Amino acid sequence: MRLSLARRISQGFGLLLGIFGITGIGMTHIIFPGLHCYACPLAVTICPIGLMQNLVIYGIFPYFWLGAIVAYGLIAGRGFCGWFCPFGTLNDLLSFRKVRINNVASYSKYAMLLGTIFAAWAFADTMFCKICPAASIEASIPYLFLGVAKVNRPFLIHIGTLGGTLVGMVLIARFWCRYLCPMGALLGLFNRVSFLHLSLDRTHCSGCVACTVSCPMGLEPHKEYDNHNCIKCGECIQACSLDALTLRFSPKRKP
Amino acid sequence: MKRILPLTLAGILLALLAAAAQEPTLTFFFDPGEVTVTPGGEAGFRLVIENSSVHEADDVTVTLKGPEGFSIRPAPGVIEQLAPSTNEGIDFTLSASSDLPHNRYELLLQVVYTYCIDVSCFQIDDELTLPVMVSEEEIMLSPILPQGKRSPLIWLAPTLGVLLILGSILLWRFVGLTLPLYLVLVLLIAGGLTYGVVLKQHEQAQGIAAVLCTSCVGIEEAKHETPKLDPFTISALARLEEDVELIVFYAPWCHSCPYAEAMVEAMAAQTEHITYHFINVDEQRDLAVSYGIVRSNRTVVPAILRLETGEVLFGVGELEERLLSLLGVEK
Repeated sequence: MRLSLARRISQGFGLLLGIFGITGIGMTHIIFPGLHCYACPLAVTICPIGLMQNLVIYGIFPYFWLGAIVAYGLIAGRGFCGWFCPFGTLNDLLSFRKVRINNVASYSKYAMLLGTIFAAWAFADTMFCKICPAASIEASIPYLFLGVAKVNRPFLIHIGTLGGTLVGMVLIARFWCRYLCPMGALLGLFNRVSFLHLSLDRTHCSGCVACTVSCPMGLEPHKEYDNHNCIKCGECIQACSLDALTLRFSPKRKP
Repeated sequence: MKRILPLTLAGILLALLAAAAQEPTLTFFFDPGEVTVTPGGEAGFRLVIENSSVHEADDVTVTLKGPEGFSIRPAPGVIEQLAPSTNEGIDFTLSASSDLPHNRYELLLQVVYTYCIDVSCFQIDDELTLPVMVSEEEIMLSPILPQGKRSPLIWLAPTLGVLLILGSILLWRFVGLTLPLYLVLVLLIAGGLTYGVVLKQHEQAQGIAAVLCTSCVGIEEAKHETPKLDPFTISALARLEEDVELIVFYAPWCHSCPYAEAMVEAMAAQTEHITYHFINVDEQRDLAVSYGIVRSNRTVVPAILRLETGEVLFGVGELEERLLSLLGVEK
């Protein structure tokens, strides 16, 4: 099976899990391995960022959350961004301009993660949720139709951040995933040790940069195949006619 | 006579001073503020006693006065001396008898203590109430763990974890050993998930995700102020002729819920036709579901239900107007 087809099927599963509440199943104990609002009327899984903020507010050491995040990180790292996250899939659909990533600016998502934690602690409120573009699509808009939300200032803030993010996505492929996603930052911490990883056979690489042109994250896969920004989508593997890059699922032997 | 008058005045003054001095000097807090217990089960709570006065409080004795069917350990709870400007807690275990019907109760605790000013000593008799919910299924949704169950060892595991991670990262980066890092990560996953489940953190997580607080995800702005009724609202409420029963569904962690509760209380204070109840959806989710305070599997708070019609209001935006409309009166 072609890699892109396998990825689309996997992304389809991510979307399906995101709206599994349509079957009538209520909220489960599962922490979602991506950015997906738990307030979504059809959600059956828990948003890791929303939960993290609540645990900060209540001052609870997050054993359960930590176990789940480390598990996701160890299994695939940011592979979940490329293969599973519904908001990542939306980023994918709007990936028209695969421009080079700004490496310094890509650390802004870690600032977003720290800012989310700090704001939850300082204001004792889930501040990130109020600007989260995933929540705009999955909560604000659906609840407007369910008669719970109204067109008010918080709603317009949500629509504003969503609009800004969509424009960003159109102008820069995977804009949200590159620069702003706090969940991407969390998973990125494990990218260099995760079982799912890109592997490069230097003897096959001619340095043609076909992989660079194809990378939605704007990386140079033949040089940065274990970069913290790599979402392991496999676009570079398909672009490489010399089979220099492969996607593996195994523990890494060397750092 | 000349001596009797000053003595009498001095006596009256002393009596007045004594009466003025005989003021409660202690303040009390419960943690958690509400306890859930199963019939025949036990639950822990802590009574924190704060002495903000300049006098030492002695023999602070806490006993249970009621209602029947409950008991506490230790009985009585005693703090022999509580120094000025200090606080101390007593960890109690509450037991509920197995034949207690499911309901909300108010635990009545009597606190007796003494304090002395010079040679004058005063005994203060105070009464405290603690809301107790007796329900079959003890739902541990309140993320605040009772203080009594916390142990100093609670930070041992995180500290050990951090040290292990740092050590394994150093080995990985500088020696090239990946195995210790993988072992530590697997240990973190197994330990974190297992201990989290033991602490019922998975249920807390589910509870947080299953209840939608309208101000928490930015569906509307949180309101923290005390509601003030418009004069036209007050006159409209005076015209209310039929009896109305309202139920306010709230969650303890919801930012706008106190506003909704206060608004209902303020309106009910204007007319005898409104009766109301508060229901904590964290503890009585089934009740919330049975009353339809649910939108696509999410219990939404704050929500105000008019029992007679089944109409529900969600959130706090323009609540005064919407509540009047729910009550069927116009400004």
